[in-house]
Amino acid sequence: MEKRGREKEKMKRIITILCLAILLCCAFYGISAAAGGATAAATAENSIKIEGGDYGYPTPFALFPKGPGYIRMSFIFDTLTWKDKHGVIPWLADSWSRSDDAKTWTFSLHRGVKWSDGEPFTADDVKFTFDYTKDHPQLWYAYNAKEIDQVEVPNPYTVAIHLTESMPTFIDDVAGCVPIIPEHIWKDVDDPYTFQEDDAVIGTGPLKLVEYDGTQGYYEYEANTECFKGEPIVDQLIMLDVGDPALALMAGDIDAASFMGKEIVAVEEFEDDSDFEIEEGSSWWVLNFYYNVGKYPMNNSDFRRAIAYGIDRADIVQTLTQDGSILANTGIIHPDSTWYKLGLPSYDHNIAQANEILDALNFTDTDDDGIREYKDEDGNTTALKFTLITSEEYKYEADFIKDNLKDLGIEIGVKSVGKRELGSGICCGAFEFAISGHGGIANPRVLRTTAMGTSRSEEYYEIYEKQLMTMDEDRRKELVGELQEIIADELPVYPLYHPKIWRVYDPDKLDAWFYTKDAIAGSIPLALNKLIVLFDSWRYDANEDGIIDKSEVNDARQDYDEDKITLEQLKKVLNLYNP
Amino acid sequence: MIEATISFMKQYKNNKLGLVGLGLLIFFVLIAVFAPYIAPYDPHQRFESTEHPSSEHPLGTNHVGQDILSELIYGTRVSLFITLFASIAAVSIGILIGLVAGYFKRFNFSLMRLTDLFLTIPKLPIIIIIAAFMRPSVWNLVFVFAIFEWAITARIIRSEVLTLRHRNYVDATRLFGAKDSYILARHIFPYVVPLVFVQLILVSRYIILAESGLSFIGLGDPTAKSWGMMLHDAFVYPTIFISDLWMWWMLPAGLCIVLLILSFMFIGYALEEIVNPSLKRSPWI
Repeated sequence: MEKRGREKEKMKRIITILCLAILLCCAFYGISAAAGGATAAATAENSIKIEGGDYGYPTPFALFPKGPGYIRMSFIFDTLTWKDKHGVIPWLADSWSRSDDAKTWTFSLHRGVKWSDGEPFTADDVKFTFDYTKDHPQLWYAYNAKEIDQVEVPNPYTVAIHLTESMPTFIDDVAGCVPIIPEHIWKDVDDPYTFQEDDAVIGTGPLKLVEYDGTQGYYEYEANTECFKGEPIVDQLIMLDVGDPALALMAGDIDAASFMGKEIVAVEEFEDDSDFEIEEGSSWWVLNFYYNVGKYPMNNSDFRRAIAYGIDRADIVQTLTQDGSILANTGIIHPDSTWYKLGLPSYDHNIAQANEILDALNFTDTDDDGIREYKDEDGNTTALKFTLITSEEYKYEADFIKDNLKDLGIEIGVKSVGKRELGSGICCGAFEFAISGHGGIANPRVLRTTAMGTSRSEEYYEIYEKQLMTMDEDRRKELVGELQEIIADELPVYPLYHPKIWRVYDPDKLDAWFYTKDAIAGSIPLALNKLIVLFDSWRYDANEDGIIDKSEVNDARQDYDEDKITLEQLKKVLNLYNP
Repeated sequence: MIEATISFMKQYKNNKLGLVGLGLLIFFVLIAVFAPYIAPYDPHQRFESTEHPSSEHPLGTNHVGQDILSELIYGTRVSLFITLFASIAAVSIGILIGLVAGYFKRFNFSLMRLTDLFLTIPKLPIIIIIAAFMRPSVWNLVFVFAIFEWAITARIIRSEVLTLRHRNYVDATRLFGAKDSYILARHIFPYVVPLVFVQLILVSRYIILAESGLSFIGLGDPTAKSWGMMLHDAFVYPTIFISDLWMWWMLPAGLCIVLLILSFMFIGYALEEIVNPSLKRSPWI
């Protein structure tokens, strides 16, 4: 009996020691794995780390159709044209022309472009892309396949795209958005949405995907040294999930981070820090106050105007967003956009005017309870009590507006709903008032349905169709301006504010960050244009006069002497030299 | 009954932690009841935003300029209100099911399997899913908690009822022709009341934590300023951790939650010990 007990005791001890040993092994393995990861990252000469997040596998078909998803893909895949901070630039196409009716667009392609697996890029790849995406719409810009009639390839470096209808906006809306995919890889792929092999990320872009881990929101790219735009100036780009970007930036876990709107308080923390620089841009985003124009009395534009006068937008911008945003254009299009119409009414906070309008509408407080009443369509007297739906994020905006409208004698009950419910509620008209926002306000396409259901919607829609077909840009601007005028006058929605956007970065790591003219691919506000990883000879244009003069060439020579730039890059600068 | 109460109070008085817990609870209840008199401002009134603590605002102001101390005091109301209603609702369901299952043999099997089902479901994930689908409001929270928190109470009440229903006096009453409802109300329910109190306290402890957790991850009622919601607002503020703000914005709300949970735990332990003396484990409890 005793012996058995002792043996038991012994076994126990052995098991304990074993367990401990296993635990220790695990711990050491963890430490060494972490250390290995750190050294692997450190070996790359110029490695840039930015905040990550899962936006899908970066192919045109597997990305999550959101801005950051497109960005992650655009480092690998190129489009015919691209944009820099001044506007459209040639990319895979060196030049292009259109027929007089804007139905045929001809592109001459850059010669000597290679896919990252070494295969040459030709006009057949472009034709293949447009043919292939007819059957398999790309996720970002699901353009209407009917728009493209046929694609002709007269020679390996020329592509003629024939459209079924005139499309003056083809460069902005299609050529600058649709990534070209390699025919030799994708011709055998039946289901591109699940195709996630290594071959799926063969592109012509400046970076190559090394690793993608969706659950960790981790992307690792390396330089595509064969890129036709020259060797990238960064060797490695890593996107990794960090909980708090501001903290991660301060701790040096990442080298650049993006902030928007109310996050201005975080940006201010970096303002006096000489280790960081800040680039400010436009978010191409608007927060709107929606009226349900299908319901009485919201279908009355005077009533909508009265409410607009009642809402103190300036207070919201100042107090709630701490000036991290600007007052919205009441015509929706962002003031920094080419299409912005200056001088639309701003409905400055004016209680007297709002009360006057409400009195004129005969919405008066008949029972002295502080809330106005109106006669509804059946003749019943109803108090002006409404429900305002919004998501948790904008509950304080809702609170402000509730207080504002109380001063007019309008009672608002705020209900917070999930984002999806909010979106579908606004879509199907299942609401009275709502607060929600959307992006893409650099491009007139965003105006398509805005004024539907208002008293001028037919006129509006006609102008909208007309501007789409207008070749002359100035004329088109006038028409887009008219659309904005109608919106500002009819107020189907009341735009509240446009958040600002910032990129805070460590200039020692990379200082090429900039914001793209009228947004990347028409709506993405991020400073993550792939041009940042490429050598920009214009950065020697210190006085930004558009000319590289003698002293500026000398700067480049000096950088070359100090091995900061390569001979090839120096030649690029010399090419721009204009004595 | 009066004698029992007096003896109970005597026993409770000897339990120091129990007294501390009770004191804390009374403190919070008083704050909740007299919130409008104690709070320096209306919690919706706006001042300069993100001000540091000062004599005017002892805990500073939040991102929209609301006085944090006032928010905290009114938050006690919301947090306690949800806890109180949800725990009473949950325990009531538990009592009903426990009594029926324990007393009527024909319901025993089905009701206990149902209870088992609710006991084995991982509660928090389910509550999160339901809260995410339902429109966030205080009443929805109360409803969700009531639905998921009754099972343990039902089991405990049932086992007590099982021993009570075979006592001689119960059999005697039944022989005299008393109705089941009369026996349940007069001869069984009074004996499970102490257990009910223990359960109320224990369930409350869980609910206050779950409510704070749900509000914190943004699934609470955004228009009701509970402590969890205060934590949420503070947490999504971009510079909460790179500035000193967390010290007067997050910490007090977190401490309040901790203290309230502690008070429930102390009271719960003390009550459990009195109701079930075999639990008297270690000398310091």
